[in-house]
Amino acid sequence: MAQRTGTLLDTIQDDPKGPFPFIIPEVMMPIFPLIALMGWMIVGVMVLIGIFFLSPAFEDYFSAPKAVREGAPSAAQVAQEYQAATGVEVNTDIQFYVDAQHEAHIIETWVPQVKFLGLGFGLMAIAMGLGTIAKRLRRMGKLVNAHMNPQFAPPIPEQPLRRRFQQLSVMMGIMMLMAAVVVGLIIAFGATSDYWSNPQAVLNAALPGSELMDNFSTIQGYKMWNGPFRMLSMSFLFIGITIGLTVIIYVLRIQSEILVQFYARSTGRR
Amino acid sequence: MAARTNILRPAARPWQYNVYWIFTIGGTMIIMIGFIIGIILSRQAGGYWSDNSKFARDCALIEQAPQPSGFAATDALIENCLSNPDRIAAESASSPQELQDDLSQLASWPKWVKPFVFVGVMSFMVGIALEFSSIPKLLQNRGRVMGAAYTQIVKR
Repeated sequence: MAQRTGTLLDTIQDDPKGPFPFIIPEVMMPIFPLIALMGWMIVGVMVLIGIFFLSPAFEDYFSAPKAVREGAPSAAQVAQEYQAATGVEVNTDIQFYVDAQHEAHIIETWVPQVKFLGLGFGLMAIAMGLGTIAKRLRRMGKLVNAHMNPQFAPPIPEQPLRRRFQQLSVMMGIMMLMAAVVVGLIIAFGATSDYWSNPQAVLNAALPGSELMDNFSTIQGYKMWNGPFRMLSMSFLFIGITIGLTVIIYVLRIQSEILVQFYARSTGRR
Repeated sequence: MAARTNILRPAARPWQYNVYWIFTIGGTMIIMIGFIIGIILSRQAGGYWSDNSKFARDCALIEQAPQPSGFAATDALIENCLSNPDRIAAESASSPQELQDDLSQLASWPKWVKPFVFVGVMSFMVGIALEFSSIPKLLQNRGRVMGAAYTQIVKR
């Protein structure tokens, strides 16, 4: 019996792969655990960047009194007074604090985007896993159907169209997160880098219409839309997972209906 | 035999399946609203931080501050602001009241927009959880139906 099932299983044909762009997720579907692992590694690397780069940069920046780190005209004098009063040695080189704030703000701009992309890969893997389960259920349904008496076997239903929406939604979500990474890198190494490479005292004195103010406005404006945009991207991935589950539920229900139909036909009962 | 006929019914539509979409659509709408608010705030932030110098922003409505404040740095700022009305006017594109209102909005709105957007994410999660919770019952039904149909399948 086991041999017979094995032989039949081998003859069950999978549905042909969809056209572009649907072929991409369909081909990638079986490697979903690797994609989840990749997402986990990306988030892990971002944690390491936070521990070894972002946190030390802020530590350096906040290692001196406000007047020193912000590069006020009297910074060197304040630093000496601070050292004399507290005995704590501080770096009197203003560039040290400028570099620290520069590094901290650049990292803070792009790291969250990559972190969310890692999270997005995790969600994409879940959606793909659900797609794979639905595919296997269909294959199993075909196998059961192949064992039925052809006289009573109901026809195999078409694949639900909504699976295409699932694939589109997941692709859309992950592409939006990739776009967020690209924009994050552009802002980080563009406006953020240009702006925060100046001492705070210079930034405070910037006038409207200046390049500094334009950069600052770009940074602040970006902060306002960036978070909700990432969430919007994630929502496409959640929609993909939701549709994936509706496909599984649909398959389970339709297979149950088919079995009931088959039982009724083969036994003559209604 | 009657009992057996009762078993052989296709799976009923689980109640969770009838309500999950409310949370999914609710989540989508909440996140969309959060995104639109983010765009509006982004435009407002662009104007606030590009058209007004830090001096003008810090001096907005400063005449309403108690004097002396008891803090040397604040007192120095108040004096500096009150003695430079022309500089404030030259370095600002908005009235002091508008500047203060913008600052208040730009500081306070993101504080509730962020958790609001997370409510949207949570709505998706609830929808997904409801869908998952409908699967065990479907599998149970599937097992019963398969068990009954199996005898007919192997007869072939």
